[in-house]
Amino acid sequence: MIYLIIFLFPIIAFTQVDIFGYYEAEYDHIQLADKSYNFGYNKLRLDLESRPGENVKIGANINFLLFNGKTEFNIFDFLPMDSGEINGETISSLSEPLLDEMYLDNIYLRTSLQLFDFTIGKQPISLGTGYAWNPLDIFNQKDLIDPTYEQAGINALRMEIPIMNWGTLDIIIEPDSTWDMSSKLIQLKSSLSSFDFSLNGGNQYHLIPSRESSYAYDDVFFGGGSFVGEFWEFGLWGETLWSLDADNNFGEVVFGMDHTFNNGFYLMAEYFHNSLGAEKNKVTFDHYLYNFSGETHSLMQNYFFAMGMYNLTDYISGSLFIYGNLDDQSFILAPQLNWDAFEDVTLGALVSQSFGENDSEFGIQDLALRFRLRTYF
Amino acid sequence: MKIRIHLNYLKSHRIFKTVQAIFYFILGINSVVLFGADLSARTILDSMTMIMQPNSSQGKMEQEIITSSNIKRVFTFNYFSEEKGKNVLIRYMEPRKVRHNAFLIKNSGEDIWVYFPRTRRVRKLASHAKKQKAQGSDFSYEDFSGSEEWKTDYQVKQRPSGERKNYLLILTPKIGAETSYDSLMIYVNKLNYYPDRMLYYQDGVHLKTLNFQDVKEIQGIPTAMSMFMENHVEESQTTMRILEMKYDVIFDDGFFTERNLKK
Repeated sequence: MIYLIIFLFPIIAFTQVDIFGYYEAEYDHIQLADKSYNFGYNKLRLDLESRPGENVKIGANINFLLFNGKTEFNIFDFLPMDSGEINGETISSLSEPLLDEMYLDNIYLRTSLQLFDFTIGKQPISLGTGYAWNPLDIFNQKDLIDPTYEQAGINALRMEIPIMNWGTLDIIIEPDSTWDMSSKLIQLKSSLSSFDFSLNGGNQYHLIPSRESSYAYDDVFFGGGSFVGEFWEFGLWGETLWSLDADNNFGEVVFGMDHTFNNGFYLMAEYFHNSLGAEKNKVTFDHYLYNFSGETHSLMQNYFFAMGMYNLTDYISGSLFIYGNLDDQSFILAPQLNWDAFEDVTLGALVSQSFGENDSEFGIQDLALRFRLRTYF
Repeated sequence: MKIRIHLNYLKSHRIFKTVQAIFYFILGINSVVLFGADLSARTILDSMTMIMQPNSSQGKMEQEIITSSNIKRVFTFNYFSEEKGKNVLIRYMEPRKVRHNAFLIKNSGEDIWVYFPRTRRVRKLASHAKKQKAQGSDFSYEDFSGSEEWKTDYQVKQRPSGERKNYLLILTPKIGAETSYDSLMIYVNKLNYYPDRMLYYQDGVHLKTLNFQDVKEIQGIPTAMSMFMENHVEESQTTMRILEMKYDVIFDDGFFTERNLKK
């Protein structure tokens, strides 16, 4: 990283680089059944952007993260089981440390040619029309407590080709050690009346259901699509991605709708189904591990997410969101307040309370508080 | 005999023509009395929309919002429009919090896409969102769009303005038209057909007033360098100032597309 700074410094010093970003401080409190923890972090995100030519953009950002309070967690504190098995060995403790870090989250070059746009490098990629879940996004996993938070950059090649006035062909390749191990996605996007839609195809070395153990890996081809539009004053959207292997068919689907009332009250709801998730009463330690690592987009199969938001004053908004696991009947209720205290300063407070049995996905999480301050510069 | 018949024919024909002329004259007067005001209102509205909404434009604007609690916020954005404001692209520059956030508004606000640069995510908003405040200002997304829908969605009538320099137009929604306002009252300058102020009514309440100030000519087109929107219900104010503006801009094909939104 030192070398990177040494390399970047002369560029920043001698070229017209736009520097901006934000400082973020977060303090969290988690109350579990018999334990409670305080933890938090200070984060500095430094965005660098340069446009050496009219059609060329270089973007980068460096994140600095300093954790405080409890910085090492035992995964089993968040699981409704006391032990699990990894490689045939039974364990009752699995540590997840939060280490201070400084890393280059994104660095990419985007060039707009007459026939297409091309982006190379570690770049932000966000696909799909869903809010809390995006089956089409085979590159990222969202956090249900904060679905719009920025996601880690993806090392990829992306080509966006406009097809006359009809639509766009989007090709994304995330290279890996071999071509088979690389993730590929192709998306044809267009619109029909007030609806936008896409048709997607993908290939990824991905988890598949396995009879012997919960999961195995294989080279999987996917097909899917998405739509977003409106019907009778309601916004509607949906997306799906499904494996094309008839013998091992699995996939995800999400449907959502929203409406803004005349008084400004915004209401949205989403339903998500993931056939790769564990079935009811069949959750194993493996399912949790794969879900924590982001290999599966959900622990079980059926979920919902709903949110209501209202601007209490010009600069204070209140929201209430609720999401839950329909299979084990556990859910989280989380009221949140956001205050744009100054032009570039926002303050947020969130309380989340879980409901459900102690052996359920969300029921074990009990109560949590979060305060977040963000200052843009 | 033939001559007499012919003379009689000519005489009767002359009488018929005279009666016809008087009939048309009376009908004409009645038409003017009955319909003249509405025709005139339509002409004034057409002239106003033609003048205030050039075919295409590109500019830089500053939006100053003063809330009811007297808190001031200033936004700066680049503004691009084509087809008399039917398609609009707005790219925010300041404050830093919304830097490079962008909106693409097409088909007079029927289709709205918003772009978040940190995640490079484009989200399509349903059209009910067009009634909402843009960045907390007193302008809705719909207000950024052109004025062409005033001609298609509203009936227009002229009423005495009580002011020597202005006409007064009253716009009420046509049956079946989906509009955000119950009625609009537009005071139009008699000399240059540029609007002086607009009064927006919603649910029978005088919601807000838009004042056009400091009108200057840019490329021969009258332009309000400052637009002051007053929200009478929330007691907030938003002033939109033009920092730079040019008209009759020729945009590349695909400028008003999602592709360009992400640039």
